[in-house]
Amino acid sequence: MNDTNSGLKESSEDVELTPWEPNGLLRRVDRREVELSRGFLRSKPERWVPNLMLHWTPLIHSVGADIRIIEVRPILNPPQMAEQGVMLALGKHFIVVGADSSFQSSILDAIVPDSTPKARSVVLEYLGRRLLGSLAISWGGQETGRVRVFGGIQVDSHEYGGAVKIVAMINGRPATLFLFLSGTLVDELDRLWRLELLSLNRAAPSAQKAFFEIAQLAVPPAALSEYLRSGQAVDLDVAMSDNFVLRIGDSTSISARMCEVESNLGCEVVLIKSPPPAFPEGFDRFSVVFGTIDCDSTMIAEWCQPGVVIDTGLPLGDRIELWVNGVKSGKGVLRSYKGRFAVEVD
Amino acid sequence: MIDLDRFRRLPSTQRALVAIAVLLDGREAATYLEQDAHSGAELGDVSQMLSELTSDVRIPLLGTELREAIHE
Repeated sequence: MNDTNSGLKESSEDVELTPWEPNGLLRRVDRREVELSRGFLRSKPERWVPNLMLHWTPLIHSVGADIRIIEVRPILNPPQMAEQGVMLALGKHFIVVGADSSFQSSILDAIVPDSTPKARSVVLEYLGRRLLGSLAISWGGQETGRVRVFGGIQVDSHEYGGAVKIVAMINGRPATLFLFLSGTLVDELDRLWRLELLSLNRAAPSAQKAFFEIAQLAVPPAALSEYLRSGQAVDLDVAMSDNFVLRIGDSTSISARMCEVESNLGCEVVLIKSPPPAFPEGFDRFSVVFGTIDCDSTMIAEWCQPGVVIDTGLPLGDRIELWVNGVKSGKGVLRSYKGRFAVEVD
Repeated sequence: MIDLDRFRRLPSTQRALVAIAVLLDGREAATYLEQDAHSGAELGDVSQMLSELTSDVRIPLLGTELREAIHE
């Protein structure tokens, strides 16, 4: 927030404003990523299998291996994999465990060093079955029904909706394993994560307004009319970048990045700052925003996760709105001025 | 009573899988093998049976069976 009225410039005819053209500059995010960004992509899959390591610790100890999980992350576009894997089918859902050659050699060297290639392939298949079996047994969610496991599956012969990427250190060697998930399972995990967020969010549903805000200025009341005068140029004193703020009422301020969602302005959540910075007393709050949308506590709970991408529904462009103390008071065009954002008031 | 013939009637790939499973996991192997879509009940029963052998018999026996299954 800029807390002086130094942003006020002369008429836009007297200062050199250049157009700000966001199209093609911002990261493009596809619809599927937007839809899954509040649920599946933010989920922590290890929470759904709380006892998984109980099934593996004895084996890891007995073979004297040092295996540490570094990262477990849901992803949308898993790599193509020519290797064979093992499949677990659960009604209409399925999971295929696939490991690239570096993971295979790391885990096999740790468990069965000096074995023949054929023996290694049998061990690998058993470990795949063991992993999927232990996932099914450890599953802490709803009853899964009958689990069926298939060996000798060609990993890239199926279509997947996403995957869980698991990065581990095996006896000091980095190794990556993928759990490839059917589209139906990705959708189900997305639903489950959002349901969990909903159950944690006990606030009564209440309508609020979300502002997609480029800058906020503290303006002395006596100078306010100048800021809203047609043709006025206002230097926002904010360096041009894709950073902006999602502000929800006076309670929540979220650092975000602009992105493009099918020609709309997208908002990628970066960091939650709640409550927002204090506003100085005796000044008017002059906000420059791309637009607003109505939201409720459920939507806010979903948005307050770094990485979430929101389709604002606002056409991507340079049109902005001017709000004063929460009241829409004018319009304008976002411009560039000496590497900073500026506004040309309509 | 251990019915080794029941184990030896399995195809070589399944014998190798059961041998590895019981060598690595003992009794727990049945938990994972019985989930097999095609032969879960048989693989689970056989691995359960083999895991009941004492370790001084089980380990050398399954080592030999594993080698033979892999070479077939």
